[in-house]
Amino acid sequence: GSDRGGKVKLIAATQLDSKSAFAEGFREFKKVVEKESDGTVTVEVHTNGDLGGNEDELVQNLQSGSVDLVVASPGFMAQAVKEVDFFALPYLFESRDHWKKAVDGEVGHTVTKMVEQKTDFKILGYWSAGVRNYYGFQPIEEPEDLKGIKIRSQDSPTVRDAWKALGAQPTSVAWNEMYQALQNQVVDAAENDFTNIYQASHHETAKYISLTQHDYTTRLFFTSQQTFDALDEKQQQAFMKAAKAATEAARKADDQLAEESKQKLKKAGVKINKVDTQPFVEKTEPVREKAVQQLGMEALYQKVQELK
Amino acid sequence: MKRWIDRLEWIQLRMAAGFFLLFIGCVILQVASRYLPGVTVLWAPEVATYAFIWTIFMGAAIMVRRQEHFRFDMLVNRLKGRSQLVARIVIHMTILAFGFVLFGDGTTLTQQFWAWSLNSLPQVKQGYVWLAIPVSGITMMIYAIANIRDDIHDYKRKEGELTP
Amino acid sequence: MMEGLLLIGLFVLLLLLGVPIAFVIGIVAYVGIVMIGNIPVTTMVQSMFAGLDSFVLLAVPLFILAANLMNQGEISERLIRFAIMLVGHIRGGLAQANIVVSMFFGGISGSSTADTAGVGKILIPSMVKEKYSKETAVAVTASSSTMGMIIPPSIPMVIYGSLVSVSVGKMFLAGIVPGLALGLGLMILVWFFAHRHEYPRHDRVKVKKVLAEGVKSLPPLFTPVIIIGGIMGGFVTPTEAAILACIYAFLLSFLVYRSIRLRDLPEILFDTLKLSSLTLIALSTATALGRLISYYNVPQKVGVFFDTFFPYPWLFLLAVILLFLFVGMYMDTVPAIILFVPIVLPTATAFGIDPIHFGIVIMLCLAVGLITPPYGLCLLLASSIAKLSVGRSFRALIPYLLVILFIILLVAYIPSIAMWIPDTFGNASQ
Ligand code: NA
Ligand code: NA
Repeated sequence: GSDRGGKVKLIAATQLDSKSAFAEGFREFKKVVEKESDGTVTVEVHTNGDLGGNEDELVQNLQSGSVDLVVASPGFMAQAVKEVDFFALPYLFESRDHWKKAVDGEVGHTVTKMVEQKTDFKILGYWSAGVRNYYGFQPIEEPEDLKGIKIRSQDSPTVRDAWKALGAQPTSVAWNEMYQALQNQVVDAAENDFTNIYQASHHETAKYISLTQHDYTTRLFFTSQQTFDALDEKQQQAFMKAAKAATEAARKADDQLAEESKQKLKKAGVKINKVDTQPFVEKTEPVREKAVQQLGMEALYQKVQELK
Repeated sequence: MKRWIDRLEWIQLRMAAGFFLLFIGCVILQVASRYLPGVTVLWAPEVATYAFIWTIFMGAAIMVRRQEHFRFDMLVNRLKGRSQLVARIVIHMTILAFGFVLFGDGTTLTQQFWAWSLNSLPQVKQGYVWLAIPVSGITMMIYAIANIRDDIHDYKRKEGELTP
Repeated sequence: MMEGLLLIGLFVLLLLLGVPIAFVIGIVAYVGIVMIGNIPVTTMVQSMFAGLDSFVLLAVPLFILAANLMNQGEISERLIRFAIMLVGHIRGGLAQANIVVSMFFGGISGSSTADTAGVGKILIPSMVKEKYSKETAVAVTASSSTMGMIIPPSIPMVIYGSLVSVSVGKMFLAGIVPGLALGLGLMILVWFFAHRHEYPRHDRVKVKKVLAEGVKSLPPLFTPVIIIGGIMGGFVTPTEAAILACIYAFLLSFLVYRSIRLRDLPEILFDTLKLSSLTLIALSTATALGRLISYYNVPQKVGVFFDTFFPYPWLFLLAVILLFLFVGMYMDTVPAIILFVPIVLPTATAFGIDPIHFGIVIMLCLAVGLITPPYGLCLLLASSIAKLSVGRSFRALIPYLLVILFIILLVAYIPSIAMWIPDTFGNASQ
């Protein structure tokens, strides 16, 4: 930032590459904000982690002011506001539409307000990183198929508890060591969205993807209050307009990437099977309830349920 | 004063070793949790990493006292007497300045992230991790000053000869 | 532009003055960030923290610890004895054994300097006693110890892997064949010299006796099996392999050979953490400098430079080889990786060069820097053990250096040499 209303240069940073949905969103933001502010606000987009290689660091950088725009998983924002972890609950949403209704409606609005109250962060939009599915050496159809399966899961206590509740044995492996772990069957399975599975070539060894759809992922696109306050009124309007356009663009790019990856996976001979998610939802209900209680988010959870 | 500095270094070295042992323990736990059924220790890698960060920051400060950091000393070693003393004091002052930045900015960052929590252990505050930086910075400053004092002392006592 | 020149000037000035490299890098990063003006000054310190915040880096002190536990007394001597029995009867036997033992050590320790210090202390005096020239003793010891950072485990590879976000495990696997090729190349060279200069040979040892000694030396040689086997089999990540190596080394030295006692442990621990801090605090400040370089968009500019002047992959590779040979002469391996890899990597990726293959080529080039003046640590160590001037040591080293350069070209232009094992046991297209 600089003095309020002068020329402002914003720095947007992501750990992902320039072809990612996040980078696409940032570019849209840049285009719109530069046009709408008559060039008084400019944006520099940094990709490939050159200003911070992981979300942890990007969020910290935003806090200290060395970057202005980032996208992060709820888990990383949870370093500062634990309630945000709510969005990472398995089977919180039943479909993309359900997700959209929630994050673009009252639920999203409430969380945005909560974050603004507790931190100096300002959520600008809810982005996504695909729908996460189970993949492994065998397809699964019901929770019983997960019995004793060693699955690499995300490092969140709730996510782990959910897999345990389903009978699986969650374990932690660094993402870039996963290919070998699968190849040597140190783990039996993992879970991720189509794009990540394809890009890491995990389908070369784990040939079955089962559509468990346990996580319609939410990513938070946000800035800091400090950055926002440094803009004059007209610039702020341009900024918010750009944020909206960026959110649209990023979501579209994410859907597109996922679809492309899905087709490429199919072409590579990966077997994708549908799963009746109802029993999975039921078995993980106690985990969600416990987590919701710990986070103090009972009311919001109720709201999400009602949107189904 | 020398006794105090030695004492400080003694404590800091043991602190560093303590953190080293802690991270060794956590990595062992991490391996165990992979292969022993029933053992799941989600926080082991994260705690190990933070103990490691403490180890390195403490170790880096200790090496200031021992003057064993990697450096090009070809030129300084060629200098003699007073000019060598001056050069060495300039080096110590540069380290002192760096220690000051670590201490100052480290304190700011520690405050900034004090209330944040660890990803895998939400009950632990991030402040405890960031604290390694200002602690390292202030001890670096103390050691740099002690080194200046030692060099001047040496120079006076040995009439211009400095211990390498 | 002005800022750039000012920062480079400051860098050179502080470096020549003798300020520790880690601090020079940190101060330059700090001043650069202050000069940008609109980003917080705390960014430097924050990036230092971020540079260390990575689980895979824990492998660095752990591998140093494993080597320190092993190096204590008996084990080095036993390996040397076994190597002499294996190849001592060839003409120039002790020189050949020097190379073989460095291969063994390469599989145990993650750095080359540890090998020069450990093996050189014993073998340089014995070679001189057997009437090898001091020059030969130094040249063989220093050149063969470069294998230490090529044969896994390797600390520079851990640094490269964590910096570039490629699997450190795969880097290790890719180092196996080039490392062994290096050893073989040096052995062939020594074989030629041995016949020309009539180097001495030892009596042939009965196969039975070799086997008996082999069995006794087997336990320490099992360390590389744990590390490479564990990683190849996918049972452990490099950090976990490192801890297994530590536990194994501890049990071996403490229970089997009884070469260390419990009261030796604190000293070993202190030595390890001090040595690791030196390397890693430099990595930490270099991360901050990397951020600064990104804020100035230097990587893109360098990319344009490479695209313009080295438009073909083979030409680009050659430029990178020359760059790292040059950088390695003046800098320590780790800071060289940290400073220069991020600059050339984007172009390499754009040319479709596999980052693992690319990394191995860089490792080999930097290994050369360990045996060239002015800042070749292995050369300096070996010549100081032999009490021979650095100039004469280096002249003797030149033929060995040519062998290493030949291996570099082979590995650079025939990628499958390095990539065969990781492609077979790892993911080809990460
Ligand atoms: Na090695
Ligand atoms: Na050797």
